Amino acid sequence: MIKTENLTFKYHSEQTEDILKDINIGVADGEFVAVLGHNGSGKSTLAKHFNAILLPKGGSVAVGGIDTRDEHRLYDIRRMVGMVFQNPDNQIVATIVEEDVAFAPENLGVPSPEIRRLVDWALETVGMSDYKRHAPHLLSGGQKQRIAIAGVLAMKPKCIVLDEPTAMLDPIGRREVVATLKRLNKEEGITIVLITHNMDEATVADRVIVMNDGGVVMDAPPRQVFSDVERIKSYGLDVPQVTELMYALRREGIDVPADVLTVEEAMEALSEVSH
Amino acid sequence: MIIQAQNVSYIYSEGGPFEKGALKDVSMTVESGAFIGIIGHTGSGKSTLVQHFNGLLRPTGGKVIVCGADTLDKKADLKTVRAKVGLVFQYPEHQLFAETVYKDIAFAPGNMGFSADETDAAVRESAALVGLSETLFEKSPFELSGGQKRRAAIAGVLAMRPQVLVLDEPTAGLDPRGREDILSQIKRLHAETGMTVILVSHGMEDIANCVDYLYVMDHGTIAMQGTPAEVYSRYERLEQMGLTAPQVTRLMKQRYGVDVCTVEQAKDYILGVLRRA
Amino acid sequence: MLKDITLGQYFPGNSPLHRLDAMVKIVLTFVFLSAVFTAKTALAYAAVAAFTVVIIMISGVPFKFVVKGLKPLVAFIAFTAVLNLLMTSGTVIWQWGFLRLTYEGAAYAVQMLARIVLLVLGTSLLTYTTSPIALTDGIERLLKPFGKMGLPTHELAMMMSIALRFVPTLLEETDKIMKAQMARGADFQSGNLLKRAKALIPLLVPLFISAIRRAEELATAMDCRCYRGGNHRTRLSEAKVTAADYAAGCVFAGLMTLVIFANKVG
Repeated sequence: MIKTENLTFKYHSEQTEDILKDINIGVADGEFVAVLGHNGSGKSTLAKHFNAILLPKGGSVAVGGIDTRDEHRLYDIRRMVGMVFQNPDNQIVATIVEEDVAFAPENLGVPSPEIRRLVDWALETVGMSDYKRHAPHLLSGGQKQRIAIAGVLAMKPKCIVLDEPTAMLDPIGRREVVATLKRLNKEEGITIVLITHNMDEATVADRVIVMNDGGVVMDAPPRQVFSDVERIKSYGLDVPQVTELMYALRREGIDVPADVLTVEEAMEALSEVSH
Repeated sequence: MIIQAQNVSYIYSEGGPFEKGALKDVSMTVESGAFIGIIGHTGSGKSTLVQHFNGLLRPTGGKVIVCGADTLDKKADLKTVRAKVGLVFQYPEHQLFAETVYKDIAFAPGNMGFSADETDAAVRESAALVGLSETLFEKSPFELSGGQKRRAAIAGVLAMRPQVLVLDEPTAGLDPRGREDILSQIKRLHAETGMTVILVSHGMEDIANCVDYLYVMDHGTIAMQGTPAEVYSRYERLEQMGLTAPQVTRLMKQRYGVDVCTVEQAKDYILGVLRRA
Repeated sequence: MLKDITLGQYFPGNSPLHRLDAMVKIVLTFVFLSAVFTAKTALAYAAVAAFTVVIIMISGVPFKFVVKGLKPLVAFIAFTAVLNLLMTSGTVIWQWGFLRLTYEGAAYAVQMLARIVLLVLGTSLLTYTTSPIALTDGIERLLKPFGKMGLPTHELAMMMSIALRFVPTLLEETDKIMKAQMARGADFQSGNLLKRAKALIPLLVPLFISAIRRAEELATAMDCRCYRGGNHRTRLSEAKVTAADYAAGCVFAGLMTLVIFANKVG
């Protein structure tokens, strides 16, 4: 789906240090990938390369086989890879929910009856059909973010990249958004790239890419990534509490597995140790 | 006690078509020097409540007494109340406006009628309290990094030398390291100055490490209160209210039936159990 | 205070007037305005007034609500009426110093009063029955012919609808920043004009910076959703001029004829 080769980037040529340093990653069709990193690690800059908002200064990025520097295919790329941002207020264009969801297909020149079908489908898929005639500013943060997701879904993208979509939401909103993403991935087969610094969200992914200082430092399934507690912490990140507890117990010489992510797994690990 | 809310009710745009009850019969007492937390999901009334603590909002029913002054009293000097209870809003860096960091932090003491010398001392003191270097004083606040901006904004409230510091979601939008930095700074501030601190949050795990006492708000009322361990141990109830409890709390309750809310406490308890066995 | 102004507000509903095409409604409003200005005799005014009452009834917007729209204009209306009443020359009925009440003045004042009231009622009915987005859409289509002459019609309409979209967001933000600065002892209410203007700086600077940040983010988000100006753009609901719109056109043309006729008779 997405492939980067020796990707480097900086905003101005005078900048001495690259913001992205020699990045080689691939995202397969239908995968759910989390990109984890602290603020300023380069993860948002990387995300903006996935739909040609930014273009590489060195190396290349290919989306569905198309080089992102190919200007003639710009709208093919943007249509294939939808993008959702942190602040839902700043990506909603219209004063009525369904008008907003219709924005992308309208831009693409889709005929009206087809737009109607796309809008209804997109709102249904994110579970917001009941709100289609509502004013977006009266909705909750989680609902607004689902509208933003519906807004890119209406382009029928193969992949959705989300740049910290839950950073401004409360726990209910987070849960709504993460559940929506899981469903899109499992049921609609849409590739998901979730940029975040929240470790609980990263655990639902198939694969976690950890970024630090403009480079990729880890790339493995969440279980493997989080079991390396010390290394994750050295990148200014966190691990789930139960993983940290297991790590603390292991340091005291207790024989528990290191790759525990959920409360249920931790229960099991602890029951085995007491026997 | 330093703040007392007695049966406080608050209704937005009373009598209008969009009338909306935000607080219903809330009573709360905050003792001087306490470190308390108020958690609740968006719209639970927690932000509305803390805006009553410095007289920005005044109750439509009941009363709020801050440092002995009733905020409903026409003669009460609200400016003094605001100086005594420093309120740091969510994303406080969005209120920075002055040409330099120094001038921005000096805004509040200037408004409160501090003399030039007092203001200067207050600016330096509050910058030190939040860990903001004086070398940044002459920079524009907009050149600072995200974490520094937030510190500068918090210093801008501390510079009034308040007796109570209220922080609404001070860690929103920060990454794990930024969150830990701000929270440990607040903890240090509480320990060093003995200032009363009220932390408002969605109830994520980080608050459990700091506060002595916790209030849970839901639908404009206080739904629960107690020590963090007591409150978080009733995680089913919290989840119904759209909040989450720390993973270790759930684990320890289910596995051992004990109330615990930090990884450290959990580790110590498990080690104790295993060593006895 | 601000929320008392009903002029320019949308009153959601599903009356025949609500269902008319926005572009057609704008044109009809101009027809109505011309009818008001054409009217010269009492009979012609009566015809327009009766017509206004009927379309207000059809719109389903409560009379109380429509009349409330006149409130902010009461002072202006009264001032014009008094001015016309006392300053017009003609057959003197009563005189005191340079002030004189004339027969012509009284007639003219009544005429102006009727004109302003009808103008306001008629035009506010347009905004009451048309959602902001439909209105901007209607303006865009109406201006289309000027697009060929280089007027950026699509961009103008887009700007208007985005501005409407961000009004509530920025109001909320203003309220928040104001409170945050008040918590730092800012005082927006007292002092002379200069002092008050200066007090606004801590409010306006953050508001301006936030608006720019929002604009940048919105532009990127629009890019991501393949926005490329008005070319090749389609609409979710293609507006179609229907039989009802033509019928409405006939009714308004009828009003115009009636007024011209009434002018001759009266």
